[in-house]
Amino acid sequence: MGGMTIEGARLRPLSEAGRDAARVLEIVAGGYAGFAPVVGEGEAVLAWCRALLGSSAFACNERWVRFVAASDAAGRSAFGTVENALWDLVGRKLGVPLYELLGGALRQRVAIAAPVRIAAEESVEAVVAQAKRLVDGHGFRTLALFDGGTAGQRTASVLAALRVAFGPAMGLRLHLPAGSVRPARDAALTALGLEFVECAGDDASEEREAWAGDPPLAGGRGLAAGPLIAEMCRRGVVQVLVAEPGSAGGVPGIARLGALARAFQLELALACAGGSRWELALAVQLAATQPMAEQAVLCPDAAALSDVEDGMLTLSGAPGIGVDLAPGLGDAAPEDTAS
Amino acid sequence: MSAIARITLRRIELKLRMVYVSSMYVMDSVRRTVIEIETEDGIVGIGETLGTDEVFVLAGRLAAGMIGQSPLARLKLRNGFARSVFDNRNGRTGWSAFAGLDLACWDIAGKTHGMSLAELLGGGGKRRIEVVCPLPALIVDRLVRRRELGAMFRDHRNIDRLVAYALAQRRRHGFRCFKYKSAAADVEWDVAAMRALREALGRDAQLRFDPNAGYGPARATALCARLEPLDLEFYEDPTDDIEGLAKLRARMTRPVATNMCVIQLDHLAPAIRRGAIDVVLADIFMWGGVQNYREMAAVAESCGLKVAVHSLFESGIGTAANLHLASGLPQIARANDSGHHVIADDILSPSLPDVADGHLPLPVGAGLGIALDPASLARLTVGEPVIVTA
Repeated sequence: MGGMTIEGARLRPLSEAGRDAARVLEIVAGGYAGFAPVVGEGEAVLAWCRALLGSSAFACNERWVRFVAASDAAGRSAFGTVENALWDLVGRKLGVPLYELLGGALRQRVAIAAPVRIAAEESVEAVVAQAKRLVDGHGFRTLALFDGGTAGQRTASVLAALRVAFGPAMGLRLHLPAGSVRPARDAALTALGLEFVECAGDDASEEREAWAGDPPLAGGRGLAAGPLIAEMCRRGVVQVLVAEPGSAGGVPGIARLGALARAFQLELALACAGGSRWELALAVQLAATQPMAEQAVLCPDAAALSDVEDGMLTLSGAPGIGVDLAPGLGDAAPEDTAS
Repeated sequence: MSAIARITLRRIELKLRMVYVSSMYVMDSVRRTVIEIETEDGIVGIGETLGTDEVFVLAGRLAAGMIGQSPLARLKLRNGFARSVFDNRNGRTGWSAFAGLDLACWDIAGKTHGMSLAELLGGGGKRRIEVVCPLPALIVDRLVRRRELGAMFRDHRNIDRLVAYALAQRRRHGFRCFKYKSAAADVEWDVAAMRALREALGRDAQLRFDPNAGYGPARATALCARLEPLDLEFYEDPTDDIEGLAKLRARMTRPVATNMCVIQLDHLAPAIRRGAIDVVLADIFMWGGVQNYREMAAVAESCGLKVAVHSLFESGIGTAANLHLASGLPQIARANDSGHHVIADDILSPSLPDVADGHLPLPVGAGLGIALDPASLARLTVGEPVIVTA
């Protein structure tokens, strides 16, 4: 298919706060525009766009090869952002939702996890009340507990209280920030029946091997499919792959993680880095096409989950990622444009 | 997208321009299943797969379950067919049956979106694909019984005919890559044949050695050790099973490839953990279609394995599919196996071009970029077509 040459790109602000606020990448090819939330540094996204000017919007494998050759954290996010916008663009051009480009949806409704946060000053009862409001309002069946760095006895108390409050059918997960201490693996922790514990930033840690067991360990967030993820799979030190579409190499990166998950029989948990509607819609569509993505999609911002009903989001049939720019958005600054 | 309204399955027999002698076959023709899937709005997708009795029957049964479903819902069709290893697979037969139907669905997707299969896979920039020249274990002029081969293998003067055949193919088609099919009947013959081929074809030629897992691990290891100085491209299925390949690979410096022992996604993890192979020589008709193939390539890429396209003798449909895989998937960097120049007849109009300079061009157009020739198809069809409708 000809005539789909990448012609230009710009970073548009999602609010009046301009360059300091969340931005969306708008990329143009063949008279169509595609959009994706900017993950990571805007400058890196624009630099990658400039490198792609004049190339085909469809040639994602050629881009992947170039990306793999020069991959770091900033590069991964820039690559993922641009890929997501290009896949949105292709969907719009062909008039089909992203999931149809990927082979069709395996499920029309996708489970969403409710984010529950432990603030330093919050009591156990207050955390349970926070979770109850979310469950009562939207029917969530999975609670994702974000520990603010206090992992230990207090976290275990919160998890135990949530289990008592919501019963054995409620999915419970624990997300620990980088550098925090894992809770002791003991009978009490195992008895809580957690879906998994994610310990950010320790994917290369040798402790993982020793900790493997119940509850399962999740990892891989922010990584793209490659030697490190492959080694984690090979050694069996991860039971759940956490996949962020922005930082894992975008749509083609998630496809590769999905393949690894199938080959090594791991679960795949789609997650959003931020709380934009684009990220959530994208993660939901990707989860709908991945056989191993039966875990609820994680969005860290409860405010973005207003459309969740019965703990699920229903796929839209809109083209591409399925989210349009709100009218009246500001234009991009000249320095945020590649053409 | 409109639903699948009609599926037609035919078995065709294609004559070969040679008698193909390997450890598994002595044959001068091949049977294939040709599949046409027609949607309610008249788009026809073309697919192909193996033509064994078992695959043909199972493909017809699977086709019945696809009527009324969207051909674009390929993941759902795959999931419905083989949700777990327990379902439908029947070894490789089930995936082979599914592969032909899946390929036709991809052809429909390409025709629907105006994109080639290679473009649907995210590539398509590579317009010429290098292909491999298959060499039989022995040159014979007629079909012979396997027991007659023994005496021929003991007479090493017959190697001259094999070498002459390879040189003639190179002169005619420009091949730079050759695959010798061992009959796994005589180690001394195999070593002598490979040495003669290397000497005649020169150090620039890529040489593959493929006894179809016909040797046990000890004999295969000893044999491959003698082939090490020949600097082969790889040893293809030198022995059987992931465990056997792993033991052999530990002793070799040249790569080990398989198209027999790692043919499903669930074979990859044990093969990777065991360090059994370097190259997944993957056959789309064993791997269960395009999506499985693409996922295999993604896993291989992450885990440091190389990917190459395997082929037996397909019609132009299968050859076109393999060319699209090689153009569409960046993980494929080696020459495609291909029997295209050995097939005496074809069912496409226009036919695919002949191999030139060791390459075949990527077909141009939506989907597979090919069209069937009804007259040739009718002439080559064996038995009655199976037509599945609502």
